[in-house]
Amino acid sequence: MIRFSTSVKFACLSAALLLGACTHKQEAVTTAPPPVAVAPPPAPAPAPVTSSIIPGSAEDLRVNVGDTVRFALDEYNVEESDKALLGRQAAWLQRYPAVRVSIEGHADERGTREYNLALGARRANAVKEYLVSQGVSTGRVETVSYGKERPVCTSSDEGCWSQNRRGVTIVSGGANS
Amino acid sequence: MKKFLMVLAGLVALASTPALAQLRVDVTQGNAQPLPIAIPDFVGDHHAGANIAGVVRADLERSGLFRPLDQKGFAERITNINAVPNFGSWRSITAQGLVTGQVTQQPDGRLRVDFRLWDVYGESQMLGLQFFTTPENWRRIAHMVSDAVYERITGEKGYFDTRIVFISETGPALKRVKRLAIMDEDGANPIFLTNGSYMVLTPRFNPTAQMIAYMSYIATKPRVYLFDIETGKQEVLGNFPNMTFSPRFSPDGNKVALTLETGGNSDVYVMDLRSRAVQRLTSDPGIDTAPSFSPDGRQIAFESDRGGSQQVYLMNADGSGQRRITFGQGNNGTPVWSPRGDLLAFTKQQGSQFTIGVMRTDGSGERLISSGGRDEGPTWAPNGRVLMYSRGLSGGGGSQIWSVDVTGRNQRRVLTPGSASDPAWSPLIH
Amino acid sequence: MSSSSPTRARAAATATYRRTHPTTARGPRYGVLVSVAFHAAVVAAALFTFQRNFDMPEDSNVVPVDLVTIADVTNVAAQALPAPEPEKLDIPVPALEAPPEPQLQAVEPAPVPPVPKFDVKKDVKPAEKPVEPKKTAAVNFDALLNKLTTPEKPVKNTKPAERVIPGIGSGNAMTANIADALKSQIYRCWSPPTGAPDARDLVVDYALRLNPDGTVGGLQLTPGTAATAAGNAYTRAAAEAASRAIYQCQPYRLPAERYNVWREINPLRFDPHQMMEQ
Repeated sequence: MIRFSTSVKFACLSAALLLGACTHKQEAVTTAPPPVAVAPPPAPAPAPVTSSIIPGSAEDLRVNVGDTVRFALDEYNVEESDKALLGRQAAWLQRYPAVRVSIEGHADERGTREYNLALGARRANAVKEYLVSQGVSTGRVETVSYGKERPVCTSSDEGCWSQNRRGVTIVSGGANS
Repeated sequence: MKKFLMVLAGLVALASTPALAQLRVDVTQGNAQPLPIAIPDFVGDHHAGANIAGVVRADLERSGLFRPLDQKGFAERITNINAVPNFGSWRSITAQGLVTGQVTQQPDGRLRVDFRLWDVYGESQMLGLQFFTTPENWRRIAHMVSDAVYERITGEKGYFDTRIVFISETGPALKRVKRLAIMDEDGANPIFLTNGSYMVLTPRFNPTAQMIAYMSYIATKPRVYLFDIETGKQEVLGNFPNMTFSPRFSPDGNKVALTLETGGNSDVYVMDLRSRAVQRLTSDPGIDTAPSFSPDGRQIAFESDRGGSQQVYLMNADGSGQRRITFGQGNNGTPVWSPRGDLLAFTKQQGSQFTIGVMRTDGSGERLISSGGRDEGPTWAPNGRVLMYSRGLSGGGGSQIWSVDVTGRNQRRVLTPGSASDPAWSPLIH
Repeated sequence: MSSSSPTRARAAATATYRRTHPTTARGPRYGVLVSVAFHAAVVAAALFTFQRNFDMPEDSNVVPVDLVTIADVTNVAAQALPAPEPEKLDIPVPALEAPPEPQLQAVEPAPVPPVPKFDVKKDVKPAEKPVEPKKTAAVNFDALLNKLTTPEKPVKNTKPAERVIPGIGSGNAMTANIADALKSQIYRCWSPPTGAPDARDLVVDYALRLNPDGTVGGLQLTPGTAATAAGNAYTRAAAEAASRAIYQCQPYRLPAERYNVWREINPLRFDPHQMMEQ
């Protein structure tokens, strides 16, 4: 009994902390598109959108280049429509040769946990292979699969599913900041 | 038949001769009902006695095979468990079984728990056992009593003195925190084993319930780890260059089958825990994952999409003889071999519908046994009679753990502190 | 026997037990079964080690437990109601080759029972609730037979019992109806164990002797089933479930004038195959 209540307290405490933390992050995300800079170190002063983003930063890749490509259901080949974006990523990576990236592979909810981990790995690897084919050296690109564990939306419809079937290029090191 | 008709003729002629007046009757239909059983509070230590009997009642009721009767209706008050009960009075309240028990404090501070199981209609004792334990272990004793009663009545081992390792889920849907957690089979005593700063998935017990294999994102690369429950120590399993996931122990506990992803392709490997030798079992370009050993350790069921869609396959434990066994509708994955060896549980996916099914180990006799629509990841009770699984809720509403009898009856939610998924059932602990 | 120290983190449990035959009703019959149970308990106890030491931050789950099998009740004689004699049926064991292989040939349509006439009561309840036996046995029997021959409302959760008596042709309609009547009274009480991997383990045969008032006069497993049950926990459980059904549903309402037909039923077979396939 004592054990139980202690655990529950733990749970509540952690949950509370997490909720707090997450609320913060969500605010940050929602305010991202507008002019205010959202990089962890607050921008020095209000400034026009583009100039607030440091070239070669994680933010630069995400906002100015684009970090996400989408996949068809149960597929992992890079879509023609996404090749331009990945080409920009490759060019950007060549401009900033110190940057290392990690490709996250994700799946929608329509697959078992294990299968989706494997599918996410296929997708991440497909993105990596495309970047490498565009001249990025293999050693700069890692992959990680999150399967269906990190959705960006939770409704059960194609609109949401297609958002979740994605490969996201994340700067993992060597970026300007 | 002729011979028998002659006997019948004789029967008519010599109806008074008992030897010939035998009617043969074949009862082939019954009325499947939970067994009405009376479990009065154990006598002796009043508090502990009520607690233990309460847990036993709850255990047996949860199984769906027993119907503990309301104590208010009891006509006889048990005061001495060494006296034969007044069976008539228990029959009068429709009890077919009766459990009487007694809890006494020993001079050394331990609890002594005696109980007897009575056949009310047969008017005989079916079982009598005695336990000694420290007072704080009263719940375990209660579960052991439940196991003993269950086994004596059903003929198969119980599963109440077991634990469930699972993934506790907290936080908002888009930023779920997933922690490794463990609790008793009835949901009591939940304990978190990891702190939530990294995601963990798919825990599995080893055959002694002492070790948990699971996937963790604690480092950059998600990998399979081992968690020693006794010491709390975690270690990464093996020195694999890439993501490893979907672990499962061999029945002797000496090996772990898992999936290694290389260059986007997932294949099944097996690692010997003593020698740390690694053997690759599958090597085709499809997704091969979710391995599960047969109880004799000779075969491994797994899923593969090598044929175009996710289906269940079998292979010998050395990787030879790979063959597909599911050909029905939809995708079929996450095969889990019953501890009894007779069935495979699996997850069937049709569109966005996920259902738990069981089938014979050659893929025949498929039966779907859950109805949640988002049910996946089955795990067997050690007696092969009951399963638990994850049930997802729509709209990011989290996840629950449910249980169901292998017959498909008695679907019910397993109480967990908050959202929970990926249950894995331990072997019997005692 | 020995007993281990409870202070050890991994307390080995030990078991001691004394075998005394219970002097309760059907003790001797259960002797073998009880013995099996006790041996199982001893083996379980021998394996009864607690290897887990949940050294979690907030808890320790060391569970020192000793398990002891307690003796059968020893004061039964003093306290028990006059213990009925252990029953012995003088029903001869059927010779092994005698009964033809039970065959479930459907006898359709059911033979018309030569029952004179039925006083059909409109409010005859389905056979779910045990009808109070003693008071209106005859009327209820009529109603029952009527129900058997007019397949109108099937009882909930069940299929109507098949109107077949293996080994007995349709030539003897009265016998068939008596068997049907008995079956339809037993099945309400029979909750077969359906969990066994092999349904064959669950088929059990009893020899049942009925008293003229329809109560159980004697009940014994056939030697074949008894032998199987001694070594198979599923069979034993199935046998006990059948036994509970037989006792629970007594007294049986059967035509008194045909007592010579139903005084002994052998074998009374319980076979849940069909139920398990549903």
